[in-house]
Amino acid sequence: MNSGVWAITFDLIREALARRWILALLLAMTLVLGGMSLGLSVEVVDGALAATRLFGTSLDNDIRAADVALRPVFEAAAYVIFYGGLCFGILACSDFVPSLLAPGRIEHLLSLPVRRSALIIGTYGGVFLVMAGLAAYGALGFTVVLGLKTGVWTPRLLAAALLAVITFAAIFGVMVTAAVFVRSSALSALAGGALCLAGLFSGNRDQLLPMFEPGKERTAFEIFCVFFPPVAAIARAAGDLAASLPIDRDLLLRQLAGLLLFGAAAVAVGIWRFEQKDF
Amino acid sequence: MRRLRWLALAVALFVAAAWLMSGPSRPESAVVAAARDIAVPRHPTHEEFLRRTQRATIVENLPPTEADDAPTVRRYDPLLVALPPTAPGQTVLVVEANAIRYSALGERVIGCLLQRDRKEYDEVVEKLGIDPFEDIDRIGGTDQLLTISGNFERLHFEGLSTETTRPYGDHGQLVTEGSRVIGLWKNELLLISADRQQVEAAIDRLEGRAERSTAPLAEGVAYGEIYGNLSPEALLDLVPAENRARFAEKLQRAAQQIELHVNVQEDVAMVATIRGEGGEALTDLSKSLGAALALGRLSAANGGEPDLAEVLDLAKVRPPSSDHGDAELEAELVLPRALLEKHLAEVCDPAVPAAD
Amino acid sequence: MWAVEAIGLEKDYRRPFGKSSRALAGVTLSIPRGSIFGLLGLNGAGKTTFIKTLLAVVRPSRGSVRVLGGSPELPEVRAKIGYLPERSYYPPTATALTHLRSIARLKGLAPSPGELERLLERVGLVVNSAKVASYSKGMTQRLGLAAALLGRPELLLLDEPTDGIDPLGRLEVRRILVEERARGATVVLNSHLVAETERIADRVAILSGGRVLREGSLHELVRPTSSWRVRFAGAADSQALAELGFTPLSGGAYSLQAPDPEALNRTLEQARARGAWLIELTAEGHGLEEELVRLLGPGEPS
Repeated sequence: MNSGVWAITFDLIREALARRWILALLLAMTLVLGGMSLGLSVEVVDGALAATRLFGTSLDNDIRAADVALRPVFEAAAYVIFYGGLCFGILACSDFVPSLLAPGRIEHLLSLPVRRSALIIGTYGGVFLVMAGLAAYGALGFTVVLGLKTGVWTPRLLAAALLAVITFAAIFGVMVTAAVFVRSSALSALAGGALCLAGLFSGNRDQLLPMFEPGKERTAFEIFCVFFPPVAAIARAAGDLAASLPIDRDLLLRQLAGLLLFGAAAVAVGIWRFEQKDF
Repeated sequence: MRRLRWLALAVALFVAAAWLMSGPSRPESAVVAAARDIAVPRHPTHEEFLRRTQRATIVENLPPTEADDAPTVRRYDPLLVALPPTAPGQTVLVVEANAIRYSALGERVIGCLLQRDRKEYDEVVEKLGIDPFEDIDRIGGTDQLLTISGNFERLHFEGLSTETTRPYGDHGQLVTEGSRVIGLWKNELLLISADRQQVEAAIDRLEGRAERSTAPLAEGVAYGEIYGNLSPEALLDLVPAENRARFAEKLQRAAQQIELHVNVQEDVAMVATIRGEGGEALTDLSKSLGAALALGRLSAANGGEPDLAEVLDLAKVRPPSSDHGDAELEAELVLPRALLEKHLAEVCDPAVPAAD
Repeated sequence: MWAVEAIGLEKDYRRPFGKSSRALAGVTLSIPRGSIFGLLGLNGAGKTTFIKTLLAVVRPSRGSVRVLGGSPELPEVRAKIGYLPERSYYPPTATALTHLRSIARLKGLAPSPGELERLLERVGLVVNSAKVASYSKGMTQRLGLAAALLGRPELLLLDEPTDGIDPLGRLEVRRILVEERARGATVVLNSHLVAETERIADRVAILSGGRVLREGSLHELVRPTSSWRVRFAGAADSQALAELGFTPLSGGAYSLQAPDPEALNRTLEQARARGAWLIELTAEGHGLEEELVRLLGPGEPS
């Protein structure tokens, strides 16, 4: 990447970290983690979780291996990070590109010795890094709190967070392009939300397909699914990964590669349009 | 034209992304996916209720009571009546052999067995005159008596022994083979014991000459393909040898009765309910069982059996609830067909048909 | 040697439903290096669009433009340009220093904090931690000017640089622009303030409807005048002055008709000899503003 991209990325990160939304999320995550570390009480006997209490309330009556018993917790944390992160990202990051394209700002940026593509790629990269940082903070916090409480140390929550960030990368690619076409944070968020929703269908296509009659309807649904990221499937994989459940590694890697290419393709459409635009 | 490069790149990337994302949407281990959906036996199914009703072929007309002028009819399941009364904590088990034989898993296992030992099997059929896989319905047993129900009309009963058979009661025949005494009742029940009195007492109960209500298993617990009570010692036999010593003392201290129900259909699902006086001993036992499962899972994972480890992940120990003053704990385990299939495949061909 | 060479520049903006509007209708202009060039015209004349085409912010529909010898599409060409947009937008959390640092990074520059502070002082801003969001319009204009001056650009494109700046500040801005010209930079100035342009511009172009109506040096644009407005110190002898041809006006001023500079100076010498000391002399009727009104006023082509 050239220096222009880095400069844009750096500026965006600095701008993002000064935003109230982002600061509020960081504060909220810190409070939740702090609350968990104070309120969660677990009893581990010979590697088995004998009792779990959150603020004195028993959570699960079954006695199982600690890492197995904590799976629902890790799984829930992964889902919270995944879907919570996507929702937050769609809302909080919908304004970055419209703000970049704000009258007065974009003319000035375009007058600088930076390629137009670098402006979009730099903004995209900056948002990606901000979301990756936030997801890593949340996942690392959960890992440390649960690790200290139970002795179960697993990096799988971080891996689950990575899946969330890669999924967001695909969604944000579409948001960038939407904002380039129509400079509106609301429409950008709407595009992200719609893609996320389509991804829920696409990610459950194996279960939904039998509901369609064989023929045109089913073919249309299959084609629809092919062009949208399987968000629900990646979320499931994130949950399974966090819960130490087996996953189809090859399939997951293939889907992740598809997501990254989808995001890149969406950004390329945005750059194509951006290159044509007058400001 | 230069700007069209981005559009061309986008199209190429979209096509590549669509190809990569076109695979199946649900990446999940077949074993775990199957295990999640397996129901454990906690109560009789409708089919089991009907089956139980049909099996109650002994009809006893009770005399009218003061409260009810009409004669009361009581029906008994002959196999359960034949089983001798047992003290609490002793083993009494019933195996639904025919149901297992005609289950998907049973067909696969029998196909596998016949593939290996067809000749021996044919010899047994010729010697006994019956086909064990076809003619046996259930097998029930205690420490003193083994009871087998089925269709024994073609059984070469005399051929079993060098001694002559002698009749006993209205419908019974007895024969002694070595140290064992074998009784045949109405061509539908085989009674085997080392103690002649146990066989005779069973026939007496069947024919109404002795109290029938002493059956060690209530009809209400007759569900699953294997059910009954296990003694703590019998349960210990199921625990891996290296953990047996540490469990023996805790089990003896805490458990008074262990009720077992196992479903053997497409998959295997087991629930063991351990009853005792409650208190710390039972809670302590539940913790030890939980720890044993954790160790077993780790051992399976380290021993190159990830599927078994995954299945043990789904095993549960539910300790006695202190809030409700429970005096029982539950342990449940499921073994999906996919996992069992892997082990079967090690000893026989995967595509062996079931016995005819 | 030209800093800007525009030939037949046209720009059509497509609007939804097939309509389009023409912002530039064949602008041909050459701006010499080392000069201050003023762009004048009414609103919608195409001045801002023209400046944006010099930065490739707006792509011309037809025609060609070369800036500093190259295409403005090239980043290396834009690296030599400083630009102050008509409207400025700053991230709400930026301070003057962080904004300048950000622009410097994007320009590939690495100025020291001292350099940035001196630049801010040059445009009349105090270096502190105040957010740009709290700045007045004039202060944001000064900051925009500082950003444009970063890296000593060869070409300065300034769109309404004194908009919102107080009179004293305007003087400072003019001084800076003259200093930049002295350094060798070319300044293209788009301003509504005709008098301001007139004071410092070497050449001027008057645009209307996307066309260049007139273009040339101030001397070429402003026609020689024979009418002068004169004011003398103290109580001059009005009768004596009337004999010399001075016609009294309101407020103690006089009007004088002189066909050429020689006649003007001779008459003024005669007035001084009679005790009338000159304190103000203004050419009447044919300044740049009058020329603009003549060209763009009612009844004139626009």
